[in-house]
Amino acid sequence: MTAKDSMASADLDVLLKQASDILARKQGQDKPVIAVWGMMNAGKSYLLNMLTHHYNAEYFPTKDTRETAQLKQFEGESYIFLDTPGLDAHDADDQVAMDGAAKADVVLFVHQPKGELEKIELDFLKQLKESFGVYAEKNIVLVISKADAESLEKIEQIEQKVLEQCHLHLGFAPESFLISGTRFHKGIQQHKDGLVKASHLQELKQHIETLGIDVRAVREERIRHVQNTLLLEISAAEEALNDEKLQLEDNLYWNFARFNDAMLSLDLSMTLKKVEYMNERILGE
Amino acid sequence: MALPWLIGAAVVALGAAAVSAFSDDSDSGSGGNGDEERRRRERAEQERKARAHKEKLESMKEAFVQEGMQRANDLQQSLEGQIKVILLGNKPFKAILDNDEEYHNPVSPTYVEVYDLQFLPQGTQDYLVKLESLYDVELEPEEELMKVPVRLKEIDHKLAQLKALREKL
Repeated sequence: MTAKDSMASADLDVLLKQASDILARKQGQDKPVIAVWGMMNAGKSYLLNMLTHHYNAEYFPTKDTRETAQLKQFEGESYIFLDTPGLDAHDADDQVAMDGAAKADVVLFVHQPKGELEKIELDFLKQLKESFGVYAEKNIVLVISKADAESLEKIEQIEQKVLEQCHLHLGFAPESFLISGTRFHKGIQQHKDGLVKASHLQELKQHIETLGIDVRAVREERIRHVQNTLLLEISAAEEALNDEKLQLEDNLYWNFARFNDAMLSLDLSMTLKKVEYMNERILGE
Repeated sequence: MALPWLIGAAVVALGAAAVSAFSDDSDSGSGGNGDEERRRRERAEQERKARAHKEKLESMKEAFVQEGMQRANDLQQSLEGQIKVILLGNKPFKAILDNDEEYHNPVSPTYVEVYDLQFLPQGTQDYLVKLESLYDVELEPEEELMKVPVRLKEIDHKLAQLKALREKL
């Protein structure tokens, strides 16, 4: 098997897994799935711990390291929350993150305000938009994390820039929230509602609730999109496999062509000699 | 007066008969020797022809075997990299020209069956069977060749999976 063949097989295994995930989702849970997505150390797990009321003990580990390249979920009363590995253009882990997003009904895209969206973030957002179809604008929510790390003016500038990028590359500007985990934690620990309010977490929660997530419709849309994509990929995979099969059969034919020719020549020569011999024998009788 | 004439005529007739009889005997004696010689010559000619014919047939058989032997190496080389051909004995070509039957002397099970070479084109399979019916040989497929049916099987398996998936979707 060549390297190309083994790559094709690996691709095919991914394809088969995606398809079985989709088929599983068809009969999956009814609670809306909210996935948190973003670059490494963007504050995804931190946000999830706040949303799931894990204020003191972390349910979602906040050390976003490579070893934790897997999906972790928490089933709440109304929602299922899903943590995904941080994006960093590391193929295997990014695929896990994509798988996580594929299962989500709402994606909270977390961006830490160091600057505008990076190319990798935009690329993933584009894929995400495609998979959400008509529900993209509503169900992709932008979260600017660590909003207290910079001055409000700078944070707002960054938010503005990010929304412009979204508009340019995705065709829409999602709802965005400036979340401060530090304020929220302080507010909770010191029972200061003002700080809790200033963290804007409640606004995000309310927005999620007001989304009125039509789980069935969103899933059908996403499943339809994935199905179409998968059917195209299945066709491409079938074509590649059939091409490879033909190539192998063609190689067999050519690898034995010299032998076939030699045997044909021997066969003809023997038949001719036999006829000559029989004629000679008859003449002698 | 008629009697002497009759007697004379009779004498002449007897004389003529005697001459005739003598002459017949003489002819008959020399003709018998000639026939025998001719027949002997004909027999000798026939024997010579029969010998020559037999020799020609023998020489045709020999040429047939000779050609079979000469082609053995070429056949061996034509399978290089695919199937190792080991020719057995000094005269591995075992086909016989004066066999009224087909040349085939099928060996059962054939190497095609032993090594499951049914993935090869049908024509090649037939020729391989013919090869081992014409020659005393051992055939051993190369490792690389035997990877092909494994991959073909994998491909068929994947195609079946994809088909099932397509139906489910």
